[in-house]
Amino acid sequence: MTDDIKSAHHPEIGELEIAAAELPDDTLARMGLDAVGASQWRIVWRRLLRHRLAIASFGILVLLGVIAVFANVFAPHGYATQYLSQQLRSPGAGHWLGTDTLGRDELSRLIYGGRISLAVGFGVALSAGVIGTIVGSLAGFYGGRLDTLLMRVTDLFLSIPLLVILIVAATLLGGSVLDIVIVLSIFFWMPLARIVRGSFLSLREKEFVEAARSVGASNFRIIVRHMLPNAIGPIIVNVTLAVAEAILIESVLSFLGFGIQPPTPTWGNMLAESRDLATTAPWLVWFPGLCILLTVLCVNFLGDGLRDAFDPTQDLIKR
Amino acid sequence: MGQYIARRALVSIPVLLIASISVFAIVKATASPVAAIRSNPRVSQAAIEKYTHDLGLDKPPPEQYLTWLGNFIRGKWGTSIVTGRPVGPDIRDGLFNTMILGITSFLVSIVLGVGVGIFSAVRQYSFFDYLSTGSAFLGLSIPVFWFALILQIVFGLYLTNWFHLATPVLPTAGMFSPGATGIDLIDRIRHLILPVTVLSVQIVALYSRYTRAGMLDVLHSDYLRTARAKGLNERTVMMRHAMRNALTPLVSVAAIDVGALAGGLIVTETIFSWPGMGVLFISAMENGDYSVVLTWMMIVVAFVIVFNLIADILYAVLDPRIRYD
Amino acid sequence: MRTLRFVAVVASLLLVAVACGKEGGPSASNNAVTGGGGQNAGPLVLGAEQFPECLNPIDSCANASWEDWAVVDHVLEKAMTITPQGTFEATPLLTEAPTLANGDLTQNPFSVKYKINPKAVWDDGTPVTSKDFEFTWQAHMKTKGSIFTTGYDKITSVDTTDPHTAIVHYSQIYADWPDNFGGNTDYVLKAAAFPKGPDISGQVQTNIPFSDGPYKLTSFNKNELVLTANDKWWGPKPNFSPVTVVPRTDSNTEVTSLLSGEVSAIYPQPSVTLAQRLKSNPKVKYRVGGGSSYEGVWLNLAKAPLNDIKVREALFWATDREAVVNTIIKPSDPDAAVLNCAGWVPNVGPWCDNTQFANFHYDPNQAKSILTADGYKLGSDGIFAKNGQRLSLTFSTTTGNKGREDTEALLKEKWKAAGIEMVVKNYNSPSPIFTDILPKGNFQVAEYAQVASPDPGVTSIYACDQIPSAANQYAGQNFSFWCNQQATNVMKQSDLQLDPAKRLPLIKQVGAFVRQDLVWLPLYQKPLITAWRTDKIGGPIGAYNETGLGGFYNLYAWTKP
Repeated sequence: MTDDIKSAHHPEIGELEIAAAELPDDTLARMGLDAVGASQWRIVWRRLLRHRLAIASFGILVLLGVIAVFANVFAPHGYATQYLSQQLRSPGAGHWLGTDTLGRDELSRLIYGGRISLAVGFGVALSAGVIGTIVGSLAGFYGGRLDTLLMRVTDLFLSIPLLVILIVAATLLGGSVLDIVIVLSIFFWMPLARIVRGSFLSLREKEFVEAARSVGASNFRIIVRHMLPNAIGPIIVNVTLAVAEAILIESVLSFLGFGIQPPTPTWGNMLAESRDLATTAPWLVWFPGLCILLTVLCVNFLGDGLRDAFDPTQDLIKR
Repeated sequence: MGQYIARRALVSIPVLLIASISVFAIVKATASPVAAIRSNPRVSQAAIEKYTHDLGLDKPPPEQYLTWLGNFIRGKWGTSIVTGRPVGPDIRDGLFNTMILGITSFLVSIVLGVGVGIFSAVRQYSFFDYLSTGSAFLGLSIPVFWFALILQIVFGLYLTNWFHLATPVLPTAGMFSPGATGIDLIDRIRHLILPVTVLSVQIVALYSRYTRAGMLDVLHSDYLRTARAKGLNERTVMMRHAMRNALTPLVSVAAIDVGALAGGLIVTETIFSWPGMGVLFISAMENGDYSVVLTWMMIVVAFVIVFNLIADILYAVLDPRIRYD
Repeated sequence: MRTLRFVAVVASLLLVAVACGKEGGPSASNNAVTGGGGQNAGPLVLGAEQFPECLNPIDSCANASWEDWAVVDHVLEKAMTITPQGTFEATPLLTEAPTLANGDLTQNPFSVKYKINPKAVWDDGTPVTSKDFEFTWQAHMKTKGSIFTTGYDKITSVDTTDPHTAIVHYSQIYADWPDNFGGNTDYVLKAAAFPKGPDISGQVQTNIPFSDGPYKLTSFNKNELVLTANDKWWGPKPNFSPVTVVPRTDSNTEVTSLLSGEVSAIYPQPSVTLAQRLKSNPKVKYRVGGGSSYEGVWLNLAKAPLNDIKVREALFWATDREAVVNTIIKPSDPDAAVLNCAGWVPNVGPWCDNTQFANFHYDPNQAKSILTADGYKLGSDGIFAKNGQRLSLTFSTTTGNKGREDTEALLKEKWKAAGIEMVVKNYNSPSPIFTDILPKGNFQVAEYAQVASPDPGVTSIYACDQIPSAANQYAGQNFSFWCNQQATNVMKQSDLQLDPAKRLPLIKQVGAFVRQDLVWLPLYQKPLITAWRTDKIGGPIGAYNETGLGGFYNLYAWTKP
């Protein structure tokens, strides 16, 4: 859901399940509240291992990540190296995935482009995750006026369609990798903030928080040591899914001409700038598209697996 | 309830104001209505200066903003500073065209999404369940414009050549055949198929996931067991209890999404030459036409706020847990 | 993916029936022959890459070329127009073109006498008169937001004593007079259509309710615009009617629509495989040629290090223009060549001296030796430096233009081989690049295009007083910040010269100055493509492809195959 409907800031699937359950009571209790600490991670990991698709996806993502990080080792050519006499070669020996309009090796460009695309995905997910967690936990922990203020700000951000505000902001900032990461991060944190706030609102009332408070623990310590670990499940799931979201949105921005600008290659702008070649040099359209599809698909599967892994009720259901 | 609505509406006013001021500042900072004529060698220095003055662009920005705001509040949306076109009718037409596309996609998607979702929940772990889950993930992961491009080429060119047709299997752009007079329903539907498919693939994927998750939750809940234990027949259990509870969250999500439609389906509209809100926004933004961008933004944000409110109300009305408590 | 294919097959089976059913519709009307001189070739559909948003022919709407190409060229008549060879000629609105020889141009004081064709009428049957010329002048000057005031601001009066003769008096000689009331962008307006007076702002934004051209505009909305034959037109009757123009703003969709037959002709921006794509359909033909706009590498002469002519010279040797043309232009236009004239193009008038930059070819060693002689030293990173300053230049162009982005990427490698580093910094067009970046000198090297009009005046881009500054609110268009007083004097002199033969040596002299000071480096003439379906259009389509009037200009003359 990247075009269009996504601009609704539509809650993630996970968020909705949580949001729905947040109203009454029981879901948060299910979120592994009683199993804080090392053992929780072991349980989550064991549950994740049973989710074969998620594990396979995780494997593919790690592989893509390694290739991206060591792009200079894996790429057979430089991403800017031009073989002007070999313009638009179709896939074959010498250039396994063909060459582009300047005779640059498509495989090498995909590998280097993947480095940028993945960096954007992870960069945005992490920084938006941090912002969202901070805003959400402050609002949820302190409540009152601070909560109202922060949630008004969140509402403000949410009321403007995502793609529109991204276009406006990207026009203002520019098209470097950093610019786009900043632009996306600024507008990606709201759903997570709401989730974290929801978790914190109910966690606030739990006995172990009361207990920590009574032994004189500082607010900061209570938030970081006691409450955050109990809200970690949805945060991880949300951050994971945000990686997919960011990669897709970058490609959409590129398509509209507001994304990361060439000559920096990203899957998104490689795809966008080849769209006139879909029938004449189809490999330039198929391969970047497939790279995006594969990565996003894997991230989504992994996110799904993580959600199940963090949700103890899944065990019940599966049996 | 009335009080709640009134309060929400009041809270929206500062949201709208802040949004409009920031958007105005950004549009001013990024795009200028004078830019295009500046790059035209036929336009002289003197003409540029005259033009800037005639459009009031030499006035201080706060004054320009306040002038716009004053007119907007009084319902005088006036004309675009760049194109001289009346803003109100343009937004109305754009909204209408976007809604044709959006609402159609929604109707198709809700029917398909709910159907698929319920069926896969009831037949959990069946082949159909795996297939629909896999397809849903595929639908969520596919880059929209890539998918649109492929559809255009397949239906506009490849299949057309394959069957040696004189006209394309499906039209690749526009809302109706060029030069058509009157409303030809079949022609309209043919033009809707590709863009609706592009949009629906995403929405169906999402809604089927919601529905499936909601259904599963309900199917394994205690009260459904109670209902069954009371000896109600399976059909009644499903229709009256399970579906109702499972679909409640979906209803409010759908309401939010419909509100967001007003913001335009920028990518789909661009690719399929569909003159809706998204295309209107992009061109106004490129022109630096703040008179249109700001008004557009107000309408869209108002839509979002209103439909969010509707979503809240629907949720309160439909959710039995809220009602019975 | 399997599901997708399945859906595709089912859907196509369902729709074949629908598609076949629609066949007979539009072609059926081909048989019906109605009156008039046209062959009545029936309806036609054209695709517009940028659909006009509004129609006012003299305010900022008129800045969009597509407003002229899709609508106004066909609806309103000009006084003077442009030939495919890029010279001026009279339209059917005049009985003959004003010249010095026939006495219709007078030098001192300067006046232009337009002899209006007595047959020329508006679509309501009323004649086109000298009052309409006077009104047009007034409208250009008095309309709020009018953008074409050049020339009109030198007009002192229009003599309307004879309704069929408009004598336009100028306060000084204005060599570009044919661009008033005509030329690339202007038209004669109908005075009687504007009872409120000459400020026509806001009055013809969404409709032009009068016509003295081959077509009338009968419908205009965001989905399409419709032109139907104007049966009052005194020229040859158009064959195709109605002509529907539809927006195809996505470049890929545009070509797909032509190949699929949804539109019958397009005038697209060429991309590298466009020609190849068009060739894939045997029913599609196209005409390609270098147009009136020329692309170049423009330099900011006001800023170090490009204020040093030696650095500029080295840069020119390091710029592989041949490779740019071969890789980016030739795939669509095999006849394209490197452009060498300092501000004009070979197919618009006699003004281009295509030898001026011809000696520059790619020679990185030449570039290196020039830099070394200039005191630069090659650093360990392979980039030259002088006084600790690395020779690193920002290169800016408009975003979203594949050809330009490829040019950058290509030249970046070539410069590197000559020890010059390129840092790409692109900007949105038109703003901020034409509002902040170029006028305020916030760039070092930029690639963009200029347009060669039939009038060879280049004062606006080369003269000292056209350098953008706070004083002129950065509205000057001399983005090179080049000031050579001698050259400026020659330019001003040439603008006062009405006789093309006497003007030519002055223009060549200006070019020589540009070459001598190494102001910029021409790359190529932008190729223009008109593509059409041979099963729909026969006729002389594309005759004006390479002019500023665009591929659809002679729409009225197109015939069926």
